Amino acid sequence: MSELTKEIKGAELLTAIKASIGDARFVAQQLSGSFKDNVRSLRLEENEDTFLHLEQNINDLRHFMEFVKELGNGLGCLNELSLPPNPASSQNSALNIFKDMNSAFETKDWIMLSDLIEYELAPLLDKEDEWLGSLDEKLQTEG
Amino acid sequence: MFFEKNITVLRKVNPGLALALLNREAISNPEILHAKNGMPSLKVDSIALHSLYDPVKEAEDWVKHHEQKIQDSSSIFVLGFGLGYHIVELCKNTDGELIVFEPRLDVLEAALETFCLTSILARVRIVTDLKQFSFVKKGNTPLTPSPLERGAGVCNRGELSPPLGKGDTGGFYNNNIAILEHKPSVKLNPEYFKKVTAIKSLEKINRGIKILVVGPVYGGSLPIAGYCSSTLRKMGHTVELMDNSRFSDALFFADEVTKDRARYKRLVEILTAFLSEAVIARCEAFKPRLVFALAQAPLNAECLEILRANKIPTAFWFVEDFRVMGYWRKIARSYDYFFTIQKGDFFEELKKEGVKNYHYLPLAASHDEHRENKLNEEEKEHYGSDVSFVGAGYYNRRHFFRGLLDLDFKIWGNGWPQDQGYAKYIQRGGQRIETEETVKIFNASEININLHSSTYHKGINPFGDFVNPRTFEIASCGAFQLTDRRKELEELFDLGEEIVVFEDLEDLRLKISYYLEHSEERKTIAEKARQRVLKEHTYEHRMRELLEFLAACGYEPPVWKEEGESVHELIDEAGSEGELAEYLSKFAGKGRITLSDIIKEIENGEGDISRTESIFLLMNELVKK
Repeated sequence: MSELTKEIKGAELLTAIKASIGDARFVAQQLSGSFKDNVRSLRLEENEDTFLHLEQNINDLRHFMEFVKELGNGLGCLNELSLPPNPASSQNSALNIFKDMNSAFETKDWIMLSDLIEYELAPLLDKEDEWLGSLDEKLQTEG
Repeated sequence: MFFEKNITVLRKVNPGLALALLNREAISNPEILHAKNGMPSLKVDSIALHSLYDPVKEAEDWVKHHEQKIQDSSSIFVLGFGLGYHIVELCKNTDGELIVFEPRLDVLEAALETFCLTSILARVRIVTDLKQFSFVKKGNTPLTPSPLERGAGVCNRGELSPPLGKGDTGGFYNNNIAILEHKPSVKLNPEYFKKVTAIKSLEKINRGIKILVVGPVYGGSLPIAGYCSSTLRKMGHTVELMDNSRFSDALFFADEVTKDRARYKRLVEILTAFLSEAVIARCEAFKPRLVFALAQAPLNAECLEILRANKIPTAFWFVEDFRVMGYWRKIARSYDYFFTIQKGDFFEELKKEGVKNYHYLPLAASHDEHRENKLNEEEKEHYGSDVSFVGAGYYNRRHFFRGLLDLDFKIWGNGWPQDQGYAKYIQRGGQRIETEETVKIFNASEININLHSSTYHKGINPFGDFVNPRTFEIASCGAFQLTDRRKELEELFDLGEEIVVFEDLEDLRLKISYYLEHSEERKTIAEKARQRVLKEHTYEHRMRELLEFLAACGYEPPVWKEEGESVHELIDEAGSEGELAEYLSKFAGKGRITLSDIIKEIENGEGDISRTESIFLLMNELVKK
């Protein structure tokens, strides 16, 4: 691929990333809030709606994480920019949370699950939001 | 670490629980862990009972979530103690009565070891054994009376509960209850906590509900419908009995008018449809909280569908043999609650049919009707004999009793053969005998024979399980009986001590001869049977159990737009100690009242008009204007 093509592709990628960050931040904020609501009902009510809501949130989280992974791939192509590291990928923190959440699900330990969501997952989503914010800022100024 | 200190307080406030904790076998698995914020937390069966990050915040959130309920209630039932974080937090937020249900002694022990809970233990009542809350199926434990009933010194539901002194809480809870669940605790012991939540339903029921009892047109369940109605009324409920026996002539007419069974069936269907419609009409007017039908009650599927669609709870007491009367298959699912006099195989069948909420409820006696009777000499002569039988001449009886025709034997009832062998034993030419006379016969006879009916055995039904009403009724009269062996009899009476059974004709004859010679033994046994009936087998026991079962299934009364105000709610609003509440308490048995009820009471009253009464009179004048 010629340098010019690379440059054009890079610019297209950068534009796509910039355009998607706003939506991604919105999703992260929404998910964080929604998971926090989930925790409340999981600790106090445990009804059918709680679990339907939880299932929906986990589904949305999966899509969000896929997006974050793609974003990471895209950012990898823009290596000339020095970008802040993604908190979700540092020391596999997201992966560890999901593993623990899975085990809480298996034992139906809803207190443990609530703890993981409230004290690990929701803060991680908040950090993701912050990271996306700083990323956005960096790309706006340097990109 | 804190156990000794806590147990010292517990010994004073709840010695039974303290003893149970001290004698507890150390087989348990609670695991005390440290949460991320350093506070203790707890895992039982690998499930966390409190947050492993911040259990205090979790407890604060729990209280906040239930804030409204806490504020609105004077008594709070908490389901689950855990380590007590939520209880501590709750105590900070209410002055109301607190009762904590926790079945697991190992969990309580863990809490008492982990924290100094002395002030909590002095403040909160902890219940482990639900029998303390009269969830016993049998026995005379009173249902929980309201403060009004206690304050007014009124016996709770008949004669079972002694009046308590004013201010004596008697260990009972107040009217206005909130039930707060500690979810992880509930998950550990769901069955236990299901019973606790039934308390609230039961409390609603015990305030007195409107019950429409639907009796049959004809048959053995007809008197039972009457007994149930009067018992429920005695228990404080407002009861209306749909006495369908007035249509028995129509039923007999249908039988006479045609020999074509299909035509007869059609006629009965039309009669049933008519009477079903009448039940719906009565529901509209009477607005019952429960429709309670007895076996053979003329309620068709369409009517039951309408009742269900209108959320009117329905209960059915199938006081018949499921093997003989197969109609239960068509109707059982249409009722919300289904009561039986058989279990075992019948329960299997009900399960297969997809019937929910079924419950074994054996027959009983009405001690108001069936009681000891002092007879004059003439009555003794007329009704008395060495051996007697009261009942219809079913196939097995006709066959079996031929073996007793050499005795001083009187047979009362209809359907008996009028042949030479029987003729001199059949009293009044085989007329039906009414209850009043039946009681006299039971009392006058030295030995009452009780042979359960069968249409295809030549004597005793070897597979017979349920126990007929006669068993309880003879016993309730304090009369002596010899009864055929039934599978479920030994659960209800102590055989040999309270009831004597016979295995076959030879055994019966031997026992007749023995007991005729041992009158004192006979009297002792009969008296024990009578005591057992009074203790466990009256219709009051059955109706109480029936309503407890409804509550345990989560009974919810339908919402009818009603005239007037609930007396209990008015008293609660007035504040139970005040002059107004004291005045209103005289209407406690009425359920709901209007201003005109109060005015009528004042007008019919005697003596000076009180301040409260004059205010009501004034209000009435204002309303008129």
